[in-house]
Parts: sequence; structure tokens; C-alpha cells
Amino acid sequence: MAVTLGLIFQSLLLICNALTVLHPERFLSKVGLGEQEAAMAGGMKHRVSTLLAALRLVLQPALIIANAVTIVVLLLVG
Amino acid sequence: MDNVFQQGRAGDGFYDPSSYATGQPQMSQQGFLQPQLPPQAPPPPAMGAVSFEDEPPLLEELGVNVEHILRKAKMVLNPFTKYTADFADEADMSGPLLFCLLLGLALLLSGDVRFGVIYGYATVGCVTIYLIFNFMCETQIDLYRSTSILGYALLPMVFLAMIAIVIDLKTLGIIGISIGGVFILWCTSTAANIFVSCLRMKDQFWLAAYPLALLYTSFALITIF
Amino acid sequence: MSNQQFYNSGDSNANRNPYGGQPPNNMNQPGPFMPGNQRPPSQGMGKDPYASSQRPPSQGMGADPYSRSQRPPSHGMPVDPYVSSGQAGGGFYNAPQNSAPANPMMQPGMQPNQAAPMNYSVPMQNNFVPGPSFSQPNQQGMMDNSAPQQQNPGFQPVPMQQQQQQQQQQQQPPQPNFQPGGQAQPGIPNILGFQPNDNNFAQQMFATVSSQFIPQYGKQLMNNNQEQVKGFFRVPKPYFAVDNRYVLKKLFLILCPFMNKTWQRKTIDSSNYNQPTTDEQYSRSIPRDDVNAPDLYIPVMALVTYVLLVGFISGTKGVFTPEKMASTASVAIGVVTFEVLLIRLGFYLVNAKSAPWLDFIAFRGYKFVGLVVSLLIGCIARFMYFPLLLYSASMMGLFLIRTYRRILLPSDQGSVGLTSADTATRNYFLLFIALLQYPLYWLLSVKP
Repeated sequence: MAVTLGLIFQSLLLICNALTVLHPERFLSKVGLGEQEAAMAGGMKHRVSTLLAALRLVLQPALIIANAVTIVVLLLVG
Repeated sequence: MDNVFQQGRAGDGFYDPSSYATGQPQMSQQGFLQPQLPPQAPPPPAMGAVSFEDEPPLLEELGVNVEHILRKAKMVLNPFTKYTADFADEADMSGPLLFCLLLGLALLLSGDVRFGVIYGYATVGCVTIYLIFNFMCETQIDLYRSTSILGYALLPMVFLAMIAIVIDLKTLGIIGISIGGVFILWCTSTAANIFVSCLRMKDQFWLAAYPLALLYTSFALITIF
Repeated sequence: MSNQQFYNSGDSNANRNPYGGQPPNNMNQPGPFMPGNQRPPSQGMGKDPYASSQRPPSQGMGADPYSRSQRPPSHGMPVDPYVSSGQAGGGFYNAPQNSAPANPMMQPGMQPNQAAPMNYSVPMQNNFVPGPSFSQPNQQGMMDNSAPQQQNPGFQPVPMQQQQQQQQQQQQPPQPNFQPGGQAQPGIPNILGFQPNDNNFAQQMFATVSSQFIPQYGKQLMNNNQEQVKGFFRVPKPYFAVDNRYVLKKLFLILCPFMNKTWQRKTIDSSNYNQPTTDEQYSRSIPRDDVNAPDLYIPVMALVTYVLLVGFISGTKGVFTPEKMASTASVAIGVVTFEVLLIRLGFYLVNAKSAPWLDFIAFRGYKFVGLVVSLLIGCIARFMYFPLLLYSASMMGLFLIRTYRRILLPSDQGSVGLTSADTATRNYFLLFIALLQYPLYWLLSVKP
């Protein structure tokens, strides 16, 4: 019904998926969030691009596992 | 059984204790050796363990001290008891478990099957209270003791549940709720007094009483509603 | 513990990450475990806590008010952790960079383990190994003991290699700078086990060195530290140091924040301690002495009270179930989690120096006080409920603005060089946090 912990987890997972799937060369550099461009621009843009890159780097293995587990759990529990 | 035999024979010093490590069946050995005991040495009480009549009672062997539980329960039921720190020192888990079962039973008789909920609340509540008290004061208390105290202080709630079998407190409206409040106060003051005395946190009495009140309120909620 | 490791590793990864895409010449530079680059372990203990004095002071966004060269070397962290907020942190989790104990989840058992082999970890950072690698705990551990201004990779255009080697050779601090709290626990395999096994030699080295260092290290810790609190209880303990007076004052402060005069945290003179402390947990005031200090007693109690009150209200309506209380608790915790994450992200985006996690959780947990008061009065007089809810949401917003203003815009201390654009961004962020309270209160509200 409302914001339970499981829902928060799932939404965070989806958000992380969405952020991780952004391609650095094909998409991010075109909107000015690639690493080089953002480093030039500085400020918040740079922080966002750093964060995105960090998420890509750190979360990829974890996300694979988390997604798999979530899919299985949702399939079983419904 | 084996314990008792070993105690008895190690006591008279007649046999080499190393013989027990051989893993031979104790019963046959015992039966064979029995007649050779010297008559002049009066057998210690445990010697009589050969016969089933003289074995210690089952409850004692399980570590359940009924007298003890009753004495502590009487202390809790008297609201004017002055608690000392030794209430917590002789902690046991059988009393609290008994009261939890009684509470569940009383709820069962009034129509709710809430055993799982009671155990859940008790587990979460005990761990939380243990953590909070250990964070709050300098002296430490272990989980076992705090669980024991909390369990004994649950006893008035059992009476509330027994009242709830006869009278439906929910339908009484404000009266039922205030009866519940009285029992919550009783439980809380008991537990808080014990905790304060054994943790030496006199100046934090109200701060210690509040989480306890919350814990017993949760029990009262499932009892009343 | 594993949670902590996760944050730490995420932290160091986030910090190091921009170099993942660097040209490969970085990778070809001599690594830390090449023979020429190794330092003898005897130099290692307590080494190079003040490494940052070599750092160019103009890095990051503003001036560097606490660069180590200006401070007496035997002193620990600055007393007020929020002062030097202008500098640029490279990563999302800023706090551990400037001083690791600012990370409230830092478990004491981990510190000696990680801190011991730090001599190896220093050059390791320059490898810029992409991906989670062995050097993460080292890096974290080194930062524990080392200077507040470790390099921020995000803002460091030049390679750090030469700089750091200079630091290692030149700096001989007068005494090892130990962590004040913590115990030596033989937990090395756990820490290592978390990391991918991509550098066997490094792991062996790490294990050997730390096992050599841990015993004496731990002993010194025990001797040095007056305020030794055992293991797990150490970190949250200051947050529970409350008394009756503090609780009453704080409740009043949450409900009527406009009555409060000062929002500045009190500070403790670090000379009270026998040793220099780098631990913000101890150099900052505890709730008993300072009404502005965050505590966790009130949030926990308010949260539980809120859940029970919602259960009670549903009971008076005749729809009580224990599952309802469980779901209420889940919603409440979920909202707090969401908000803490959001604010944390905001702190990262506006490039602010961060505060310990438990501070955020504590400040966000205060919102249940207003909810509980509204619900209680709403039970008696139902028409009062929604005005009170509106009032307490507004007051919570005001409280948060004043509280976070101290962290985000410490302009009255004259120690940061923020541009006007930065200030504007931060003000908008504060406003956003305050306005966020209305939907969250609405989400948590239950009709009495």
C-alpha cells in the first residue's frame, strides 16, 4: 500500500538500474555528463557525472545479484 | 542418568575415574559393581541414584526452580516491593517463558491465536530494550538478565489477559482502555524499578521507564484489541 | 559490520572512480608492491598522519582552512567538524575523507586492522585500479589515521604519485597518531574476504603486516584511551547520553524551533583529553551538555510511540491487527530511509562537507515527535489534528533549515569561500528539504 521497506528497496533497485544502464559514450557525453566534459564544466555537473561513474563501477556486480534475487523472489511470492 | 551415576561413584573414590572414559555401557558396570561397596562408608546422597526413586526431580534437572519462580512472581505482584539488584542476578528464562505461554493461552481463550505475535514482540522488544539500556548507562547488563526481568514484569499483563477472557475490554470503551493503562503502569513500574536498581541509573528513571512502557503497551494492545 | 564495509568500499570507489577511464600510462607506473617502491614495515606504524601538508592549499572549491601545516602537529581533528565545509570532496561520502571517524558506522574493531598496513596502502592509491580492489580497506584505514585532507581525486588534475612519495619520505610525525577508540580484533580475514581476489600478493602482504602490528597496536590503544567503551556500543553511545532536562528541552526545541537562540554545537576543549584525538565522536559535545547535539533516544522512542499510537487508533476503530502495526513501522522506517538517502544525495550534489550518518538519521527521526503530538491531541480534539499536523510540519522544516544551515552555510564562521552561486544552490536545497516535510507528514498521517 504505502512506502514499505520492500518497496523502497525495489524502487532503489530500479533507480540504480536506470542510472547504471546509461551509456557513458553513447548517451552521457552527448548531454554533457561525460567525464571529460563534466570535469571541464565543474560544479554540480561534475558531481553528478562522478556519481554516475561511481555507480556504474561499484554497483554493476551487486546489481546483477540483486536483480536476480528480486526477480526470483517476486516470481515465487508474487 | 549418566551424570548421576558418574557423580555417585566418583564421590566415593573407589574406582578409577578413567574407567568411565572407555565408553562401556554404564548400566551393566554399575550393576556388577554394586555389591562391593563398603558398608561402613555411609553412601552420599547421590549414591542412591541407582534407583529411580531417588533421582532428583525432573524440573530440578532441567534447571527449573519452581520455588524460585513463585517467589519472584510474588515479588512482582506486590507493587510495593523494594527491588534490589539481586533480582537480576538470579536470572532464569523459565519464568518468562512460562508467562509468555500463559499470556498466549489467555489470549487463545479469549479468541485470538497470537502466540507468534507475542514471541515476535518479546524478541524484538527484549533486544531493543537491551540495546537502549546498554547505550544509555555506564553499567552493562546482558541480554539474558534483561530478558528475565522483562519476562517477570510481564506477569500483570497475564492477569489483564485473564480479565479480557471474561470481559470484553474493547467494548467497554474508555473504561477498558484505562484498565489496560493501569496494568501497563504496573508492568512498567515493576520493570523500571528493577532495571533502575540494578543498572544504578536513578537519575534516568523516566527515560528508562518510557521504552518499557512502550513495550508493555504493545502487549496491552494485542490483549485489549 | 558488513554494512560498514559496504559503505567504506563504496566510498573509496566513488572517490577513486574518475581514474577508471584514465589513459593507461597511469597503470604503468610502478605499483606499490614493486620492490623499489616498498617501504620497510618499521616505518609504517602510525605513519604519515599529516600527509596533507604537502597538498596545494588552493584545491577544491575554497580555501583550505585546516591544512595541516597550519596546525600544531600533535593536535587532532578540528573541534568543530562542520567548519571546513568549503572544500571539495571527490566522492559521495565526504565525511570519511576529511576525517574518518566522522563516519559514525566505523566499527572500532576494524580500525586497527585497517590502519596497520597503511604504509602499503599509500602508494596503492596511485594505481587507480578500476573496480573494487584490495586496496579499499587500506585506503579507508589510512584515512582513519591520516590527515583530514587526503587527496580528492575528483579535483586533482595532476597525478599524485610524486607528491605522495615525497610525503612518505619526509614526514616523520613526532608520535603515532592512534585512534582513540577501538580494539584490536583479529578480523583480517573478514575484511579481506569481502574484496575480490585480484591481488594475491597484496593480500598476503596485508595479512602479514597487519598481524604483526595488531597486538602492540591494540595494547597501546587500550592504554591510551580513557574513554574506552567496548566494541559495538562505542559508536552509538554518545547519541544516547541523554538526561531528563535534555529530553524536555529538545522536545520543546522541536516543537517550537523559533524560540531557540543559538544553533551552534557546543565544542569540547580537546585539551581535556590526555591525548590528541582525531575522533569527532569524542571531540564533539554529547546531548547531555548541548541541546543542539543530535541524539537517537528521542527518534527511537518517537518512532515506536508513533507506531503504537497508530495501532491504538486503529484499535479504537475496531480494525486493529498486529500486521497493521508492522506495516506502519515499515512505512515509518521506509520514509526515514528515503529521506536520509535523499538528503545525503543532496549533500553530495551541493558539494557540502558531510556529517555522520547517525546525525542524519537522528535529525530525520525527530519528525515523529510532531506526528505523535498531533495524533495525541487529535485523539482528544479531532478538529485540531490537521492544523497541528501542518504546524508541526512547518516547525520541522524550520528546525531542519536551521540545523542544516549550520552545516551547509557556515558563513558566520568566516572560514569558507563559497561563491554566490553555491550559496544560492544550498539555500534552494535547504528550502527543498523543508518543503519535503509537508508531503512526508501527509504520507505518515493517520486520521484519528
